[in-house]
Amino acid sequence: MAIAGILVQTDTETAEAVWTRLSVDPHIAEVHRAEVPGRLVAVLEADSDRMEQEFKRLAAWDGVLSIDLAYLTYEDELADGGTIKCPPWERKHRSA
Amino acid sequence: MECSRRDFLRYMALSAALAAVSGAPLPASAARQDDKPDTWVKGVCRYCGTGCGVLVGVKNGKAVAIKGDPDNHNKGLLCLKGALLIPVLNSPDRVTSPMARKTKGGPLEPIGWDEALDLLAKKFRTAIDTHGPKSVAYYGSGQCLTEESYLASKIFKAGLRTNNVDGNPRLCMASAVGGYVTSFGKDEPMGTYEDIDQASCFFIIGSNTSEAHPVLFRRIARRKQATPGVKIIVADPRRTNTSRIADLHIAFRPGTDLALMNSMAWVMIHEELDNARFWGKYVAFKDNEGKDCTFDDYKAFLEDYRPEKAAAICHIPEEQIWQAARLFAESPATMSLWCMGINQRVRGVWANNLIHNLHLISGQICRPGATSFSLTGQPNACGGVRDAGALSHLLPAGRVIANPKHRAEMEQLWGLPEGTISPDPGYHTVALFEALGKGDVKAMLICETNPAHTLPNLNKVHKAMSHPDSFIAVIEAFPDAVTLRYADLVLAPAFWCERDGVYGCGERRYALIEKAVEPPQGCRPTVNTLVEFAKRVGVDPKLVNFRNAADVWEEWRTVSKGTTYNFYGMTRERLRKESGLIWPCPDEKHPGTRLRYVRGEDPIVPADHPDKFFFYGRPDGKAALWMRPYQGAAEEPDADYPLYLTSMRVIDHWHTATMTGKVPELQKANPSAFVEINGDDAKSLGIAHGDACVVETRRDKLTLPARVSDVCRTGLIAVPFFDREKLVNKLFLDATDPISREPEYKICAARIRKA
Repeated sequence: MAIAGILVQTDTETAEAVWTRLSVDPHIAEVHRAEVPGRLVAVLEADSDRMEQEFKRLAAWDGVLSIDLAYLTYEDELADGGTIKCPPWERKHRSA
Repeated sequence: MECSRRDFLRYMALSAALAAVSGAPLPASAARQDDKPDTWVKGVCRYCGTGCGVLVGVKNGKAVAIKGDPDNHNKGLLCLKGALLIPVLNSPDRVTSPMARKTKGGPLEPIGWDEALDLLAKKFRTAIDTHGPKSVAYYGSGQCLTEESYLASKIFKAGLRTNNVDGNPRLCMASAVGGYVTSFGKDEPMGTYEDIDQASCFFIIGSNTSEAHPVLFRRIARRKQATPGVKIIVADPRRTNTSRIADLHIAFRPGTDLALMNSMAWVMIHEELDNARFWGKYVAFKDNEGKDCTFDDYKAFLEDYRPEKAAAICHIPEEQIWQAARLFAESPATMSLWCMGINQRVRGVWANNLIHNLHLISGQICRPGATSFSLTGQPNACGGVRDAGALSHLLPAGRVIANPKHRAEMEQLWGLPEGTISPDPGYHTVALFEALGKGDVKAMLICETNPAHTLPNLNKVHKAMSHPDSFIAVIEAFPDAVTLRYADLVLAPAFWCERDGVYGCGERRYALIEKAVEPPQGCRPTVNTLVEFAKRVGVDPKLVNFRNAADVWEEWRTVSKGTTYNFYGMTRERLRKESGLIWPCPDEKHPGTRLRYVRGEDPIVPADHPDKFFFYGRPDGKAALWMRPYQGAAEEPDADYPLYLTSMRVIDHWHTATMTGKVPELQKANPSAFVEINGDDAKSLGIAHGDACVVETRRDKLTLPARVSDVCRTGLIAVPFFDREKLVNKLFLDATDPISREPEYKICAARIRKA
C-alpha cells in the first residue's frame, strides 16, 4: 500500500469532529492536531489505485476545507509488485 | 529505537505534513534512523512555473519517493502532479538511444552517439556553408535547464552567428515580458510569492490558478481562510474552480478585458481612489505611440471606458466594474495574478500594461502584498529563456540584439571580435516555422519541447515540418512526443534530476536541481551533447570550454555581474545549501531580493537614491502608464462561426502529457480531450453531456465529446490541449501580438454541432 502524509484543513469549529472521525477511519494510520487551529496532519494508507478516491472521500467530509498532499511513497508497492496499480476510470461530471 | 521500514515511512509522511504546516524542518531523529538509510536529494518540480521545491528519495540508486521541500517557498506542499513525478522518472517509456531516419519519411532506427553527432554537425555545417547562418535555427524550451538554454543560445548566436534562437516561452510568456519591459523597463515581477501572505485583495485575471498553479492557489485560499476581510476578484469568461472562492467573479466576453480594466481605472479616478502622491512622482503617462502625456490626457482617454460603455462591450453588469475597482483600490494591499488568458492574445502586451496601470494609478505597488505578478507556465521559462536571453531578439541578462552597445558587451564577455553577433534579430517562433516551410531554414535543433503538438494552426506547422529539404533534430526524452513524427534525428537526453542544473521560477528564485539518479544507459546530459555538437560543427572550442553544467553556470553568473539581473552571489555551493535564492543577489553574503525597485530592498537601487522607488530600467526612472485602447481579437465570431473558442488546461495534465500521461492515476482522471459547453448553448443545439460533437473553425475540425456545465459563459466553448490524439491546436489561428509575437491561443471563432 502507498503511504501519504496529508494536511487536512478544516473550519475551526469542526476541527475536533473531523479529528475524531479521522482517528477511527480505517485508512488513516494516525492523525495529529497541528499548532494552527483548523489544521490536522495525518498518514493515509491505501493502494495506489485507490489513493485518489481516498483524497476525494476525505475532501467531501463535512467541515473539511481541503486536503493537501505533502508526502507520497509507493516504495512497498513497487518492491512487491514491480508496478503501481491503475485506479478505475470514472467519467467526471459537472452539473449543467 | 527499533522500527520497521514501514513505520519509518509513516513517520516520514507525518513529518512532511507537519513541516508543511509549521514550516519547521524535519525532526533530526528522522535522519538518525539507521534502518536502511534513504538519501534525499534536493530539486525542483519538473512541471509548472510555481517552482515547488522537492526532495527526491533515493534507495540503491533508484528514485522511490518524493516530498515537498519544507525549506522552499512551497513549505513542503506539492500538487498531485508533482507528488506523482517518480513514476514518470522511472517510466520505461524513454528514448534511450539516438535514432535517425535513413530516408525522409522512413522509420527511426537506433544509431550510436558518434554517428548521431557527426550527422547533426554535418547537416548544420552544410546548411551554413551553402545558404548562410540564417538557414539554421535552435528552438528551445522553458523546461531546459538554465545552463542548457544559455549554452545553446551562445553556440548559435556567437558560434554559428545566427540569431534564429527562439523557444516555447514565446508561446506563453512573451507578452508578459513585453508588458514588464514597456511598463517598468525591465522584465520579471517585482515581488515574490510571499506577497500572497500579505495581500488583502487578489485580482486574478486570465488565470485558472486552481488547475494551472495549484500550490499557489492553495496559498491564496489559505490567506483568505486565515484573514478576515481578504477579497478575491476573478475575471474570467469561464467559471472555473478558481472562481469558486471569489467574492466577485466577472465573466466578461472574451477579449474585452482591456475595456474592463480601463473602466476600472476610470472608476478609481472618478471616485478619487487614485494615489496622486504616487503617480505624481513615479509615473510617466504615455499615449499608445509612446508620446509623453499628462494625467489629464489619461482622464480624457478613459472617458470612452465609462462603466456603462465598458459594461456594454464586456457584456457584464455595470455594477461589477464599480465593485472591482473599489475593492482593488481601497484594499490595504492588492496583488494581481494573471497567466495565459492575458498573455496569449494579439493584444497581450497591452493587456499586461493595463494590469500594471491599475497598480500604478492606485499606488498598489512596490510594497508587501501590493504587486502585479505574472504567473509563469513552465518551470524555467524565466531563468533559462527570458533571463539567459534565449529568444531571437535577446542577449543574456536583459540585453537586446538591436542595441549595438549590448552586442559589444556580449562580444567582449564572450571573447569575440567586434561585429561577430549579427545585428538582425532572428525569427520568432511562428515565423521560424514558416521559414522552415518555405525552405529558408534548412536545419533546426529542437530541444525539450513539442512544437508539432503545441504550435497554433498546426496543419500549417506539420506541413512546414515535412519540407523535403529540411533537417530536424530533436532532443527529447519521451518517444510519444508528436514532434518525433517529424524528426530526422533524435537525441536521447538525461531527464530532470538525472543531471544537475538550475531552474528559475516565476518569483525570480533560482534553485538547483541536484543529480539524484543516473540516466538510463544511452542517455546523456544535454550540456554535453551541445558542447560536442558545437565542436564538431566548427564552433571555436574556446566558446564551449565547459566540462559540465556547473562550468556553464560559473560563466553565466559572471555575465550577470553589473546588470540588473546580477546573481553573481549564487555560487553553485551556495545553491546546493539553499532552497533557491531570489535575484538580484550580487554577492555571496546577499540574502536575495524580495522587492525590486525599492530603496533599501533592491541592491540595484543606490542606497542614497533621493526617491524611495526607482524604476531603473526606464530612462527617466519612472514607470510608464500606457493608454492602450480596447481592441478585439484577431478573429471574432460571425454568422458562420458564431461561438468563441478558447483553449484551457486541466489539473491532471501538464502541457502535452508526455509526462503526466505516464502516470496511471492522472491519465485515468482525464484520459482524453473534450469540448466544454454551456448548458443553455447545449440545450439550444440539442447537445447532451457526452455526445460526440464536431468543433469546427476556419482551419480544421475535430470530433470531441461534450462536457455540458455552467463553467463556460454562453457563446463560449473550451478545449484542453493535452491530448495527442486530438490535436486541438489545429483549430486555432497563428495571429500574433505585434510587439511580443505571442500567438492568440485564447480566442478564435468556431461552430459546434452534434456529430
